[in-house]
Amino acid sequence: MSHLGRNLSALVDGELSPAERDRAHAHLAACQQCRAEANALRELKKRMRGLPDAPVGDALTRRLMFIGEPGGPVPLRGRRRPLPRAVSGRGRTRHRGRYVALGAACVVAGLSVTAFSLGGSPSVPGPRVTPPVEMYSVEHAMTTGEIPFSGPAAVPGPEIAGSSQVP
Amino acid sequence: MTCREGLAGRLPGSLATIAAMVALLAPCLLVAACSRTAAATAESRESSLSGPSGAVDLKPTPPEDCGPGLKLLREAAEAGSTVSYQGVEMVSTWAVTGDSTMIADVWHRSGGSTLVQAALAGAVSPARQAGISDDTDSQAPEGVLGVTAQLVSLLGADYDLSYEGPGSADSRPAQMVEVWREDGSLAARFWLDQETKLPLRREVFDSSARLIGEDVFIDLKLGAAAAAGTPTVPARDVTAGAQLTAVDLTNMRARGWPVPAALPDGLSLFEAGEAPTRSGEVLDLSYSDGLFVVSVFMQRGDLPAKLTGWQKITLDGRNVYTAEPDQRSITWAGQGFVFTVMADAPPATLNQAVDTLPYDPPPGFWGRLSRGFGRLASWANPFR
Repeated sequence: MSHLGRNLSALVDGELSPAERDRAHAHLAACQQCRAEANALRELKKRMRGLPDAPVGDALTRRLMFIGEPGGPVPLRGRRRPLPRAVSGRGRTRHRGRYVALGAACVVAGLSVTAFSLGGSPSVPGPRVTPPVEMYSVEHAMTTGEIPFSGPAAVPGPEIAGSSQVP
Repeated sequence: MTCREGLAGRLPGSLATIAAMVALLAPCLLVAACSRTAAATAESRESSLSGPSGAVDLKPTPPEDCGPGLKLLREAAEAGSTVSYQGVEMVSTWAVTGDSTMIADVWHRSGGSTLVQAALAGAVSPARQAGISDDTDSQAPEGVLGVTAQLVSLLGADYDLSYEGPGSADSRPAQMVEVWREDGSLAARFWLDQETKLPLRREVFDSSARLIGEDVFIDLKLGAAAAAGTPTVPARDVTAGAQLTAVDLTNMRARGWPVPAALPDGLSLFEAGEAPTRSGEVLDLSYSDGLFVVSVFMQRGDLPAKLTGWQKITLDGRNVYTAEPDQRSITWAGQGFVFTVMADAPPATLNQAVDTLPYDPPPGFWGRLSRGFGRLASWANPFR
């Protein structure tokens, strides 16, 4: 007589079809050994249901994840997640190098932006001069014997303290 | 004519023929002599400005009296100072960059002040007032309608002048003088008041005989009637600047001031001065060939980041600013100086003048980055 075998745990878990379940029950009624195993499985299942939820440690999780992809972060739902505490010495060095490189790139980028901004301003130190075009216009007219043409009237320029003498 | 016929009748036939030939050739010889004198004057002026000694005054050497045209213009320059006049002056220019017309009320007392109240017209709002530009200096402006003693001297040196006979301007009898280039093209035409020789009208042409400028007096009053209507304006409290000689300019060049001895198109330096301002010393240089004038103002420093009232344009590949709306004022910065150029000249002449002066081209991306890093390095240098 063949015993229930793998169908025994399926019977305990309620995963058999009604016809298979009827045949299994008929076998259990006649087979003491299978009946004892079925009782043992039910008892184990009952005890496991009674256990509280135990937290899974990070170390276990990381070890489990690194089984699939040794030497690198484990993909989790499409994202890479840095796990610096549990990486090996080699991985820790690699991550530190990446952070240093990232920081250096940020510094270079910042300096470049600053330099580009500074490079656009005049390189020669000196006063900022808004040409007093109306005064210049009068001076030009004095030289040419023409009427002075108007410049930008709203231009705030340095007032002339003296005028060029036209001899 | 009667005198000439009598003299010919008393002379033998051969002598009469020789006399007639001399009479015919005399104007040609006179013109040739004038040309030589003008060329020598121009050469002398050029060498005086570019020579190492620089001890010669900047004033152009007046050419010898070559004819009635130059004589009339000299009288016109003097009349601009000695004759009292009042009227409306209209200045029109036609250029590629745009046409402009300016109208101004002008009052001048004999040997005294000249008052100008200008208002822009034409494409610009005619209501815009440029304000009264008064000048209490008895010597300035030297003339009117571009006729000053110095410019007439230059004109006689660089152009051929001819008296063209009587004419009329502003309903007044006038005498016409024409200015011709060496290539035979008409450069300018003047109408001078027959009685006082005061300039009444001026037309300026480019080398293609195209009218590019016209100055006209309208409703002109002369003499006592003009002097009586001159408004009173309080004198400005100004300190006169200094006139510079060629020696002064040589010293300024040695101190790094980029003072050109001449500008293209035959514009020579004929006047220089300096004036103090709050932002530093301003050097005022005037270049001309007698007809066109370019004034160059230069000052140490740089332009501010934003120039209100100025428009950024590109002129022959240079990024410059032009004063709106006349576009006869150009300013830019280069080699530690701010240059401002004002011109009564064709655009091509103005462009060439601008090209002569220093200019700092934009550094570009890498140049700008390099300059910025250099500046950062200089800040970090503890030994500087």
